[in-house]
Amino acid sequence: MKSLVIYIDFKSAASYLAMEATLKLIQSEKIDVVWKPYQVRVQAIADKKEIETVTESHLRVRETQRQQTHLKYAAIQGKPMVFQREPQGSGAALIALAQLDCDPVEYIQAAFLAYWQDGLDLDDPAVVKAILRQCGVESSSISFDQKGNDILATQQIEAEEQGVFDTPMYVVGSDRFLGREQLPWMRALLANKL
Amino acid sequence: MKALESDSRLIVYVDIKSPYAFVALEPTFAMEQRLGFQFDWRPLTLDIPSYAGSARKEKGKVVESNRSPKKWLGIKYAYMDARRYAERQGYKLYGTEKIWDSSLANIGILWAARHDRDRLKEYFAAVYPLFWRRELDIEDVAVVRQCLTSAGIVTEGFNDFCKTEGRALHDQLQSQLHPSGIYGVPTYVFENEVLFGREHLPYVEWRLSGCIGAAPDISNVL
Repeated sequence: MKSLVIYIDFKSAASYLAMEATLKLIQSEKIDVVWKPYQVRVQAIADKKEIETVTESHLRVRETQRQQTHLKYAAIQGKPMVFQREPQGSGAALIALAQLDCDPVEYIQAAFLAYWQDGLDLDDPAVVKAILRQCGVESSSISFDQKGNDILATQQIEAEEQGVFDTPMYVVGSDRFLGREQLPWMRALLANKL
Repeated sequence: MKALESDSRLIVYVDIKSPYAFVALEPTFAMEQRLGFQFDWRPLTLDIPSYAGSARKEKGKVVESNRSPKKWLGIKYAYMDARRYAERQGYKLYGTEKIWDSSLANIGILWAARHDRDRLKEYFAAVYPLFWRRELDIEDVAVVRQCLTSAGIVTEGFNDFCKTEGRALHDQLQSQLHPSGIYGVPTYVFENEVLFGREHLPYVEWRLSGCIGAAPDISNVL
């Protein structure tokens, strides 16, 4: 059976919007899946300045357009999606994901909704513990202190050594795929049709 | 020329030096054929160092760079990803040794669109594959003119066009792009929507063919 490693971050809009299609792929191809955390950097969109460098203008336009595009496809998928003016963190939720030893799908879905629908701060261990409780996951063994940070940091380094730099990143054997737009290729690859 | 306005129902922005624009050509031309009308293909000359840093290679080795390790991961991935799609389309795609000034080859797009729109596809076919096999110096106006000739497009006056009207048109268009929400290639503009990336082709086609059925999600055409 082929296996798939999927790197996600809860504050990544692209990761959130990829969930449904990814779960369909997993079901249809009957593959082993490992979900791993990868912390991406998300910044607030800068206000337009009277005088901007090309770099500043590019970043502002790119991030504004990306948000609009994510909102368009969220509406197409019928998913709630609210962008906060100042993006919340996701560190504690990723620390939990890094340590879960059960099927994490229900937790991942709940954490995505908490972030994108309810605007909760997933950097807050209390918020994350509540999500875990809601999913029936025992959280007492999950460390949110320095040990948890170290586990996440180690997994982050290991991910980058594999060439991960953004999410959702799918790894099939030695092949990497960024984004759900790659699912047709991955489906063909997993079904040995390439 | 206004960045978001056209007589065509769809504007497509491309850059000869973009690997993603290269692999978007075939599915975009296929969509043009299916929809049965001509798209308005235009140049967007990317200012790559302004958002992705710069680098120069010699004999395959990086000899100059101001890119962070993470930026390099993204750039190497982009080339790897474009390469696998290019190979599936039957093309070679080698990483470039430097960041090229593609403005002359892009002015060639404006020239071809004006003088022989029906042969624009042939111009792309004369430029893109050779450039991505590192066999074309797109900064040499004589080389670009030769590509136009091999596409069957008249070239009389092209050199002057590059220095005068073509350059002015090109530059005037570039200055409108960011204010219009356009920042990369391929970009598709229709009915006041601006979408970056060929993964939007299913949605663009759905919109331009009457929104029949459920709206599709993003997807790269295999």
